[in-house]
Amino acid sequence: MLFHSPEFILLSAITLLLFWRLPRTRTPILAVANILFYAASGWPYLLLFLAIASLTYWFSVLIHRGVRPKLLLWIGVGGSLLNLAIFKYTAFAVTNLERLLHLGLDPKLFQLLLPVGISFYTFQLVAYLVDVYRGDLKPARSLIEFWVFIAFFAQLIAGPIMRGKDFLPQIAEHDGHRFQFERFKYGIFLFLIGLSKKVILSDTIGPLADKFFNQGAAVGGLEAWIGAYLFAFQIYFDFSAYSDMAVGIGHMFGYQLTDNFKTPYLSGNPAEFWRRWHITLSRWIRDYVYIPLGGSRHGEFRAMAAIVVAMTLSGFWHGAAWTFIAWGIFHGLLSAFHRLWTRQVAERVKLPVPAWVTRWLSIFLMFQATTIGWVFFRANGMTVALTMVKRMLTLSDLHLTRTNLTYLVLVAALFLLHLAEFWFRTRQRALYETWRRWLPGPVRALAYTLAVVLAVVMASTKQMTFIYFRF
Amino acid sequence: MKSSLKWVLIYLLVIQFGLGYVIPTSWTYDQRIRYEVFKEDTTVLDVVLDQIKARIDREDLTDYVIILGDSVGYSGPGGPDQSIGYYMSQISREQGRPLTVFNLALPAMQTGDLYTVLLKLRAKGIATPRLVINLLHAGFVVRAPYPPVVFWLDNDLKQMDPDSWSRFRQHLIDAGRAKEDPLLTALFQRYIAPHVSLLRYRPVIKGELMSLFSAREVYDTRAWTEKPGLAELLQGYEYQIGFNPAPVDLTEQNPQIYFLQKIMDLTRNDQVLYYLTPTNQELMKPNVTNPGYRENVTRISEWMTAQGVDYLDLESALDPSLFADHVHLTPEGYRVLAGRLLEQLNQPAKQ
Repeated sequence: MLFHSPEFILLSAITLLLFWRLPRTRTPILAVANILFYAASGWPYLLLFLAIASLTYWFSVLIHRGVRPKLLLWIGVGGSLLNLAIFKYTAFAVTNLERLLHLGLDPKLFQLLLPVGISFYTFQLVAYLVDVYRGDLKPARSLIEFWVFIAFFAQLIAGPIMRGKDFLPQIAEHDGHRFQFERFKYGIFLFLIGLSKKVILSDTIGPLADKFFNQGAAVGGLEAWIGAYLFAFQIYFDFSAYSDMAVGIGHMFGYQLTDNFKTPYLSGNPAEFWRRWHITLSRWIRDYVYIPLGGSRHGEFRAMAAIVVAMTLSGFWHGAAWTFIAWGIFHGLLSAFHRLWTRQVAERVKLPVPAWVTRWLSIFLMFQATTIGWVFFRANGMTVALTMVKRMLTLSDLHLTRTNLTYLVLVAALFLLHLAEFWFRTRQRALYETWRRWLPGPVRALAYTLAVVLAVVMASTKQMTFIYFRF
Repeated sequence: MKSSLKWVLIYLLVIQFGLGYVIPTSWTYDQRIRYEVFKEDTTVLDVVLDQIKARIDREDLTDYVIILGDSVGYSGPGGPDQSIGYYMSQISREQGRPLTVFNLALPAMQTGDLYTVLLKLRAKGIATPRLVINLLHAGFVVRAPYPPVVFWLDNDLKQMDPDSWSRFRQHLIDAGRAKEDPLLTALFQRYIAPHVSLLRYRPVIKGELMSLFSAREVYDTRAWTEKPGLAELLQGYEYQIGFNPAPVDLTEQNPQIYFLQKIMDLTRNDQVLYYLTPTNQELMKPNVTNPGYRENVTRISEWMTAQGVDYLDLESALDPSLFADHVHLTPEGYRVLAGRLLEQLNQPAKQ
């Protein structure tokens, strides 16, 4: 069920109405809404999700009571990961086994339809269970409350990956929440921002990026850069659109969901990038993979190795293909190199140039590195990805045509838009006040109406899905 | 905010009731339906039909021609002013008998689509006193499963003639059509979207907005002899299958025949001119000289004649120099074809 589909809008509207009109039954209302939302993708998947969620909840209660905590933690986490592995990685494993051992297996027979949101809910389940085991979190007060937390329909499919300690207390207290019109309005505002990003920007840029990536290994150096730049913006607008809409819906219900993006292409290094891109995943990887692997507690080499392993796992989480693993390794190596550079060079050598110059230079370089990484993420296979990256780095087979120059202007315009978003987001409260104070109601209304009209007009009838839905 | 909300509602109401009056007809129809807009959303056909209906009522038209067909009827690769409908109007004007022509042909349309358009015309109360329909040999050959017998309008057919749709449901599914929308989406599309002006005119406005940012369309109307690589391209399966020399099935088991009979039943009281689309006899020589293919053309002509309809076999009627490829024509080719069709239309109708 896509956010910009009529069935989602209807479900949200009815749920919101009941949620605010019947304050004492908010938990069951949301539980039913979650069930209806997930059932749209298929009842068997809903039953599977309900079963795994119930088991995780009961395990958490037992762990909290001290009943075989370590064993139940392993079974609970192992069960969730096994569920993910079966659906997501079986065909990949069989394909590679077949390549190595020639067992006569047909990987297509093992290609299962991926339950929607499985990667996201698995990470939420694992985090919840580990947090309860560590004593950082008390279990939810009831299964139904846990279900509302784990399957909240606004963020179930593509995050943000919520933590129990952030979200469960909000659910526990929501019966006492009063409707705040300002907050509701802000939720609508975020939802519309997200909707516009999706239908006006992402869905328009997507086919342009496809045009370059569909050329495969035949693409020239400049075209490869253009395709990768366009995809960089497509995936940003697509994924951040979903997050904006999810956070916006959260506000409409009076919840504060965690922000997932902070204009990431303005990052000056890999560490900053992961603090601004898919923030909740980065935190998850840090807390449940990087730190348990030793983090920075065992010296530089172990820390760098842990970064590479964590980022590789992050890549593999995105998809069962070598290209995603390569994307993870690429970012792992980039982060490790940056750590080495910071420790060995940057902290010792002071460049004789103003700070703003180094800042912008590092943003420029980081954006190029991120763009190269996206080639692995998007390309149809490793051979194509490696060929494209080789052409990008060697700048070979450049075609400086008028069309390509137009595309470069478009890329520059998209980057300026990204800057504008940063400027807007960092000043949004003051801007809103100015907007409200200086412009009369009819003029503001005209702008709102035009925004709605533009979003409706530009929406594709094909209802393009969000890229991250497939993870 | 509350005051803004009030104004938003007022603006939306203005859009709801005023949008239809400010969208020019040329945004949807210029000598033919604007294909780019139609491709974005096929519901734009309803907008066009309503505009045609309004014009017929306004000008009290009783004698006009409606063209139905595929890309040849649409007159690709030429522009609107190089299309059959345009030339038919122009020639009839020159002859002192001005004729209004509505060209509803669109690329890739199949017989199932043509039948559905006719159902829509009936539903809108648009009479079809004179119709011109082009047929192609490719339409009669086995669909295995591509192309689907309803290429664009399977959702409309499902609503308007569920029996016919059900009959070919499996074929449509095999050919990648007949996709089921979720219930709410289907209900929304059927009962709400057509009545919300913004949704109804959405593809039209989008098409116009996008055209502001895209290069002006260039129509490649060169003759086929000036297109290197064309002959090789036409050796591809998707082109060759249209010349399949295996005997065509002329029973109702063939979806082409089924829908042709449906069209004939529906237009029994109208003057309908069917014609077999001209084919480039030089470019496609190995195909069109195949005895199986020739036999098929003869059998199709005999079958059409046996139905008692007005039928023109133009398969080998045009000079190869008038072609842009295997079946599409140069502007001059379309002008010649328009003349032939007009000549036939002006003959006394068969009873």
